[in-house]
Amino acid sequence: METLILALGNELMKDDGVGLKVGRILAQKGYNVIEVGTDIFRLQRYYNGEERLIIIDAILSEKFKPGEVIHLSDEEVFEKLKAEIRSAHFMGAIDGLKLLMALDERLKNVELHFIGVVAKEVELGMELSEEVEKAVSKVVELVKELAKN
Amino acid sequence: MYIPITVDHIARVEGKGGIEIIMSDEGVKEVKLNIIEGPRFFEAITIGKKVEEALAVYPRICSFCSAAHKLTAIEAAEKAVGFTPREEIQDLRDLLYIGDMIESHALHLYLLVLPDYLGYSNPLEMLDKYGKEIRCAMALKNIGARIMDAIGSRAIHQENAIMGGFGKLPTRAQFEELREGLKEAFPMAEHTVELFSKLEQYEEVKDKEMIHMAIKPRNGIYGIFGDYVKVSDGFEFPVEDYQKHIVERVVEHSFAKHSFYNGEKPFIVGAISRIVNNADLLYGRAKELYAQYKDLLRYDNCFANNFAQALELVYFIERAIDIIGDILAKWPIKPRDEVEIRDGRGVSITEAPRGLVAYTIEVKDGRVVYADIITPTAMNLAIMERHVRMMAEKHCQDTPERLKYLTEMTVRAYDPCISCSVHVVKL
Repeated sequence: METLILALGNELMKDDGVGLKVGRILAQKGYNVIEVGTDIFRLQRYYNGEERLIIIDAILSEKFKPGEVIHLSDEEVFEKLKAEIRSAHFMGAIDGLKLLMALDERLKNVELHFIGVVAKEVELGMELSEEVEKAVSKVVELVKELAKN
Repeated sequence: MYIPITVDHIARVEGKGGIEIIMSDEGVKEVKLNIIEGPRFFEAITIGKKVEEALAVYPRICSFCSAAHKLTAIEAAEKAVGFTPREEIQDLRDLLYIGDMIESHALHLYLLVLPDYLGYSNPLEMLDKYGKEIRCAMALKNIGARIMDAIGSRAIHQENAIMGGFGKLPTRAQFEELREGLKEAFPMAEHTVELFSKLEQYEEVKDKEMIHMAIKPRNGIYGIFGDYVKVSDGFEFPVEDYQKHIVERVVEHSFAKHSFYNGEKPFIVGAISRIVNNADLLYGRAKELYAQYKDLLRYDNCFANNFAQALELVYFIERAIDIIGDILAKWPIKPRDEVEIRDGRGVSITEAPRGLVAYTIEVKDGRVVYADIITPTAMNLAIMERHVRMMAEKHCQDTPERLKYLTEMTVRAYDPCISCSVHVVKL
């Protein structure tokens, strides 16, 4: 099964860059990664019919501790993240993904995973917080596991 | 009694901002656009960096107009070190910039503005009834992204664009493919003009005092790069003098400074300001459409900016096709020239999708020792606030929902890029 990894985030907003940082590590290891930054629609340009999609992003949460890794799959992604999308970009990444799924038949049957890292600091700066930095290797391992077959 | 009405997060603008309207018994007491923007951070973190490294940082100010920031910063840096690019390199930069313009306008018009007019809260809800429009948006956005991919090598941050030219160039076949893609997209741009010609421009914000600022295109063709700024009152000034004529002031409620023309008057930049100042330089189908819809391209209404962007989609697609023709006629093209890094100070002002963006870069011993950036949104903030106030004053008796809706639409007409780009999801 082919896997495409979408790395989301803004590396100049501290922990918001965790998705990109994990994405770069995975790309170096030979995984199929695209950095979509803050524009999920970039998926439209690079999607080649992969059967599995793994999205890596930062999460804001009051329920979970900074650095916790949250894994959601398929419908769970839309159910749990739907109401709480806080996007500065007109529509959240997940809504954007839904729109793309509605436009591209191939995306409708994709095996979807969302891996979120709970952010501690989302403000101007290039460093990850200690908690989020520690989560990076966990996310890498989780993606490796998910992309095994 | 003061009733604060707050829209914490202006939905569907790039970045993060909010509108605060303070009401009193007599009506609107105060209107504030609370903008969190970070260019000062980018200026600061590039001081002391090698100029080439700094040029990799500036486009990250905004992932939606990264080509604009990249190319403006490169031009400023090249001027600082005393380098002038070849004509072919300038053509390629124009083309890359146009990719940004097409992508940005398509996204703004179809996915941000249109839902308001059609009564939807987001584009996803429009899909059943307006699938054609959403597909049109994605196709136009896509051709813009393809241009940026091909020339900038990445759709964001354009690392292939460097001082002296480009790391590598697309093949002749890739340019031909792009040209075909642009030709296919052209009818969609025309459809956009027709569609947006029908949308209301709210009279509540009619403002006869509007001052428009735009670049005076260098080659006499409606475009992006230039050496002078044109003001709609007839004044022109060299880009090097922008800090004399565009005076920034700190306001309490915003991280972004507000800009004033000659220190006094708010002014507007963007597609409508380009049309107001440079419509005589349009050509082709856009020129015909301008003649047909001239009355909608009003200098006195910020909502005309939406329609001006629609017209520019037609223009810039045609212009991109022509530029590719010029590039292929000169093929093969050497991708870059050597740039000798000398000490100096350079200024560039270009037309980002949202309006003028200004960069000053000073280089000493190969490192950036001074940087100043004014974004189009920062330039527009003062007048945007005035127009939000005008809208709020006319509708202060309406329901808070209606007031929010109309004031948000006013802000969105400016296509602001309030670029902290926080996009994290919440669980």
